[in-house]
Amino acid sequence: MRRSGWMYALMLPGLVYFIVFHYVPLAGNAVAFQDYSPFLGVQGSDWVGWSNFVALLTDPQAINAIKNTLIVSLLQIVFAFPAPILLALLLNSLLSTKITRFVQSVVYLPHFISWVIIVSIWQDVLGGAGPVSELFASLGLGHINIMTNPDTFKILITSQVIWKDIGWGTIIYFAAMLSIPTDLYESAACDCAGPLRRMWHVTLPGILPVTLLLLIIRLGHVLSVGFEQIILQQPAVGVQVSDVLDTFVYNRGLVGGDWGIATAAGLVKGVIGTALVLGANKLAKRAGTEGLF
Amino acid sequence: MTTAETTEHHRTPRKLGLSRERRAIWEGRPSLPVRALKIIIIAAIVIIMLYPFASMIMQSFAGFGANMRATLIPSKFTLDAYRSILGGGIVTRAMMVSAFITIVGTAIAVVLTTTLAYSLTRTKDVPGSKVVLYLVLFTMLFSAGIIPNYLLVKELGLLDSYWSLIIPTAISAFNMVVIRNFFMQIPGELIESARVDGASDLAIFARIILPLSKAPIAVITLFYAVGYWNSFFNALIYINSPEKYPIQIVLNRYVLMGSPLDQIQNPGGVAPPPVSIQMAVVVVATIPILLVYPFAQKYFAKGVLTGAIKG
Amino acid sequence: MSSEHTSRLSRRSLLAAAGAATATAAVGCSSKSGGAASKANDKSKISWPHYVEPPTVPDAYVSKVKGVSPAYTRLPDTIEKSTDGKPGSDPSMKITSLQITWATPAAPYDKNPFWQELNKRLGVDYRPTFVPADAWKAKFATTLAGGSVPDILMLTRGADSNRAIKDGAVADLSEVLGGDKIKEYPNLANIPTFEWKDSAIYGGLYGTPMDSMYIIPEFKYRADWAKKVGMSAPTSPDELIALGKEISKPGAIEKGKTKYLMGAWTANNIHFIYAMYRVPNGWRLEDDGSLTNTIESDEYETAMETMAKMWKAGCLHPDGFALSEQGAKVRGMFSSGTIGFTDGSFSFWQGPQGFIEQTMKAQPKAKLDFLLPPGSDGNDPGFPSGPSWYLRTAISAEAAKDKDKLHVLLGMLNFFRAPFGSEEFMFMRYGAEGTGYKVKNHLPVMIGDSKLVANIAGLNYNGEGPSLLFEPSDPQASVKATKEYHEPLSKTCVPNPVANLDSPSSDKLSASLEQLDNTYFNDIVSGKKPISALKEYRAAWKKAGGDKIRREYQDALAKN
Repeated sequence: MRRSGWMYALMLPGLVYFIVFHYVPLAGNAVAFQDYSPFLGVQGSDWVGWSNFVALLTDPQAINAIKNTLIVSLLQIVFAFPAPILLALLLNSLLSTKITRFVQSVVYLPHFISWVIIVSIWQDVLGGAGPVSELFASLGLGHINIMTNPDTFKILITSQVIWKDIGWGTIIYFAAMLSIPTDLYESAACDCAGPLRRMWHVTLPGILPVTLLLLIIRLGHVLSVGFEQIILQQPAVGVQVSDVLDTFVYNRGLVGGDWGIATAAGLVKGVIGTALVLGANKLAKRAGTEGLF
Repeated sequence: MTTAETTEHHRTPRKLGLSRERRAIWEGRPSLPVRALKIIIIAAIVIIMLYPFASMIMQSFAGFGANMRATLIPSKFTLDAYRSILGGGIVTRAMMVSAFITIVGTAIAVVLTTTLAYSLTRTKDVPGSKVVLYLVLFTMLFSAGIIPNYLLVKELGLLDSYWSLIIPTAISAFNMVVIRNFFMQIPGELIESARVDGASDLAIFARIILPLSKAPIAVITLFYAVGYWNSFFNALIYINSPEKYPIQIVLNRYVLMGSPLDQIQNPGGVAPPPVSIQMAVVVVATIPILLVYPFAQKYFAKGVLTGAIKG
Repeated sequence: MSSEHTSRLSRRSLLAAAGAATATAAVGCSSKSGGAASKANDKSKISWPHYVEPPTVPDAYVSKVKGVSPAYTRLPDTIEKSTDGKPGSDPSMKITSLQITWATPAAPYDKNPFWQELNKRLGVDYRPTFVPADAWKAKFATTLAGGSVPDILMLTRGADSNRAIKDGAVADLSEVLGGDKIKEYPNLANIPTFEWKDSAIYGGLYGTPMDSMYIIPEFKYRADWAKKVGMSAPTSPDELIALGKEISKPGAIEKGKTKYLMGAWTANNIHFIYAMYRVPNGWRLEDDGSLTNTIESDEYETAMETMAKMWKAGCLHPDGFALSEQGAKVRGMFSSGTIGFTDGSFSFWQGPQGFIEQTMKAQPKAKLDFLLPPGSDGNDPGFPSGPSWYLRTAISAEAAKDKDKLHVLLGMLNFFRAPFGSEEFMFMRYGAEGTGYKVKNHLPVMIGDSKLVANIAGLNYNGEGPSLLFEPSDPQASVKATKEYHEPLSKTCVPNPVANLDSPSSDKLSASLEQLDNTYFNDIVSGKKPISALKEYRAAWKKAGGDKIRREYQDALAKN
């Protein structure tokens, strides 16, 4: 106990923060079991048991939203998750510092722009009257409006996510790559390993722990695929293909004033996320890494 | 010499700058087609990333009735948009508010995050710390929602104060987990030998862990800085006095809601088109945080070294 | 320019307004709902406040058509006070409020001479909280949850407001304003009786209603474009489609460029098309007392066919679906000459920095004319009219317990509702005479600086000002707009029979019904699905609960 004295001291401020700012408000999740009215508050509102959850899970719009959410999440995990890794590897293999630094600086720019602007810009470029559409028209393919095509919407938004965050995502991987000692590369080179083999045997294992960590966290958020980005583009493609759990909750909960359903959806997200995190963490440990915990 | 310094001698520093100019023996020169392919991909990426930015910036210079042509240069070039938004003081004030929140918030956040992260790196040795770790992780999955958070802020008397934008988001569990992960990759021998020399946990933290973690700390500093600079929703809910609005709120009101800022500050003048004003506000609001990255990049380039001896 | 609350309604405002407007959120209710519905709609016991005509002003045109606001062309001969004394007598009495705004924020109190003067005239320490529109719903909820209701609270239309009323957050004003009692607050007596009746709910008057004209958006189009393609203002739907087709031919208007007639499928544009066929507004009350929903009507089917035709013929900008919620961008396309048709309120168009001027600066050759929806088959057009009131301004139940404070608060509302040309009215819009404005030829001329303008704009949206048309820079514009546009359209408009009734299921379901409508609209109008898909839509609508809502509204109508 004496030995750990400082550890507890270092732990205390952070712990207090989490208890005050995260656990105390958690009690507010009781709203999920109520017919909540802001004026009456939690004390004054009626309790309705599980009916919010039942409503959530039997509502066809809710089911549609969950379905869309899972599809988009899958697309993001398969395509958007590895993208920063690939870019980081590519940039890492460049021999010129100047180019690397320049590209790094450029590639993180989109992260800073808010979705409102991004959607507006994409519309200008890819929309029905934009240069891309003009290009297609001049090639005889007719005006193509990528932004309003419901069938390709999920691919569109995944591409937007990649565009926005690929550069930003490389930051963590770069930090990981930098902590790989060079002698590992040297000894690999001495064994006649070319650049690709060096990447496979040295770089990738070196960033594996961080990658798995991020993947586990991503899985924990499998039901959160973005909100602002999607709600801005819902009118363009219709709600059927674009509604995800967060936009459903916004439309029903905040706009419609149905706080019960909104909170119930949040709890459902949390439960599913927890299950996935636990499962993924076990797998990560079996693969020999630290895992999340 | 400290333990860290002795170990440094035994390893070749991986400095991006150094190893490149004096190409290491083991790095042969890649073949021409491979180089060409890399260059093409990189060029394509750069163009895709830069084009919208360039378009935005050019649009902020567009005068009334100007048409944006494919070359991006507006047919009527003017600084009116910038003049109108920077003249009245609303935008500059918001920038200062955001700067304050970002600087103070980031400092607090980094301190709290690193201390907490380190304290949770030895869950086997420190009783109860595993429980704390679980508690923290749990918060990444469950949140309480707008109303409970608002009530808490209100009860703490933070409503309508700058602190309501700083403290409730002081630690991101995600950032904490990331840096904890880096801490845990620091070789145990370094720590053990320091302990043998009689160093306390605090000393180990300050003299070994922190110096060896410059890159990941730079990373989370950057993450926090951007997070604070971009904070929007909390300000919307907690701030009532307009003079306390951070830049993102101001940006949102003028971009999304198209409020006639220019007419207020420059009545009777030719109003630049609303779109130009919007783009100008975006440019002005984004540039400060863009400037932070090059400073952080220095830490990446200085070559941090944590030798993780694994296998 | 000034606040533009029309287009803030979501795209499917017709369907949404039909339901969500006055409904109550009720989860897990069954037999409860019957009682709640009739309770909300029971207006029989209310003593309606009496109506007093606002003072006459020379050269004003006060239309006799219901739902058309008066048009003023000049100020009265003298600017007089409309109230005796001040609302409050204790300058340290703090009055709080929660109000929605679309304007930029005003300077803080210490740096705001206008605000200080306002508080002097009110006789209290008035500290309003203005909330930007996009944060309104969240702020409204958190403020109520926070436990203290501001003294003055705006209640926008919607389930959250109704819930607050139902739970007793605000005071029923019918006791203090009913019958002749309202004469104590003479300006509030200018509120027409039908507005009180429309905004009554749960058997009481929970706030003063804010005027809303039946038809707010004024549609204008590029008459010079029509001339260029050899056509004139369309007088039938086919002519409209033909005009759109001609305009969108590449190079027809400007060499090397393609223009379009309409920009996007915004709610207002859709209503324009509806107007051509007199599509029912939300619901249609049949002779036997039953209700037919908009989508079940033949007129709706014809309107949808027309919109599909228009889309196919290229009458709309290719981003017509994507931009349906981006009114600002679409208007930008009008002023930059990409599209030739758009809408805005009267005050949006008019004035030195109004949209007409903006457009003329960018397009000097443009000729902008009103475009009324052409009726089909020689019939009059039937534009779906909005409700007679936009929001309520309520007083907190807690504050109302103190009779003296209640009197002060009502006095403030009275102040804000000062009639046109009165001293208070002028102050709230132009500042004090001599420092903010001066009168020249019976018209106000702004002499204050830009800061004053900003401070006024930031503080004066308080839900009370009477609705009217007045443009000092072009005095006859208001009369012109009234006679050429508002009167003809409002005469033949199509009202919503249930606009002021309450249906508990409606709000619970309106969000998902709106989503349903959204999907089918996109599919059918874009041509992806044929018009016969309407059958599918109607069946899906019924399945989603449309019939339940119908029954509740029918019951409510029967009781009234």
